[in-house]
Amino acid sequence: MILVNSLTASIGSIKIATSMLLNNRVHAAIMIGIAVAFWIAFNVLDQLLFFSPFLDFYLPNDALPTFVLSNVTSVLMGLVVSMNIYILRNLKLKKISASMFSGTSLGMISSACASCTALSFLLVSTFGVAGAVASNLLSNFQIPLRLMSIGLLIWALYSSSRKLTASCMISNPD
Amino acid sequence: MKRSTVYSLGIITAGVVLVGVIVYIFAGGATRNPLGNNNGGLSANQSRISFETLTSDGSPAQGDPSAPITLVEFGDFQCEFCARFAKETEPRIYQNYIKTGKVNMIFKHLVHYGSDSDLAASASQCANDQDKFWDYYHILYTDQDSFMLSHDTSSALKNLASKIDGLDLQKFDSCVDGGAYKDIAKKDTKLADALGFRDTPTFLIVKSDGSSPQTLVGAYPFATFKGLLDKEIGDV
Repeated sequence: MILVNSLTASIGSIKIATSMLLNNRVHAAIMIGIAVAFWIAFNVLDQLLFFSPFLDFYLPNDALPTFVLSNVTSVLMGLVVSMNIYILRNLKLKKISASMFSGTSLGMISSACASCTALSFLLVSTFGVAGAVASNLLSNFQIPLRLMSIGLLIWALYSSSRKLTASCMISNPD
Repeated sequence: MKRSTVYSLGIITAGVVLVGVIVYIFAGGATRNPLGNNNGGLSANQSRISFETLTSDGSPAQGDPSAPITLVEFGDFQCEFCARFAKETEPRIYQNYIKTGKVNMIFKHLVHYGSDSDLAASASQCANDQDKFWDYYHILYTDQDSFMLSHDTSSALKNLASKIDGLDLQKFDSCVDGGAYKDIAKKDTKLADALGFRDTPTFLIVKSDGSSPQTLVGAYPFATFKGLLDKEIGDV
């Protein structure tokens, strides 16, 4: 029961923070911009989106799970970064707490972690056999790594949204 | 300027730069001309790598050798994007261009994934001895994990060969065990290096006279190949 209540409260807090963000045009634009930028980066690295010689996008069966996960990662990345910018610009924080930075930086690292699975293409050509070994390892654990990065981004989103919604609470005089 | 504004601008700039770099690396280098300029065939410093070197050294081929266009694939049997090409795009190229005599396709080994790739390359050449390379090509790419994750790669490769109809397994096994093609991967990879190819899969689309070579790096969709091949066939 306690778990369900805290989960509901967390989702509620994320919902409120997200709607605050989306009601502000600049931050909504930042969110969409970052999400689109990461979507492009992920799909170029996954060799689903091509710009040359023709603009082309395709979704083969083997790429479906990673495509779904990279869509989720891109949206979460946009939300987390934009929310942190919102906090920094709008809240009068006396000092920037370590937890907020750890949330953002963890989100960044986790998204890099998700993209490094797709970077295997570059690893092999740059580092030869050693890169190939790393690439094989990353390819084999591609889905778990991406799931882990989504988990970290959700945690980063939760901690940021809590910071945002907590600042709106009216303290009880009692 | 406030610290928060600087921070915001920094994040946005970093994002834009990141995407720009990625797009530049992949999109900018996607099509190249490794054998010379588009109009005149081989350039002086690359003339030692002729069209004949690419097409007449016993590399596995399918289609009409006198087809107006030759498509050369440089691949590794352990590369996942090569597998995607083999499963998604190659069958459509075969149906529309190879079977109809418009394109001749050649496979060359470009191995970076270690000794298992060398072994797979060598085994595929043994299948080629019995004109079964392309059957084996599809089996290896469809069932990549079975030899990549195996502790006994040689046995795994032999097991996969047993799925090919009409293959003389005894002959195949002795070819693999005898190491008849143990240097083929190195030889092909050396050629790829000389052409400046580092990534797999890399494709070379070239006219039968060796002119107008174009390179595609990556597992491009059929639509891209169709666009390039139709243009090249139209120009012949």
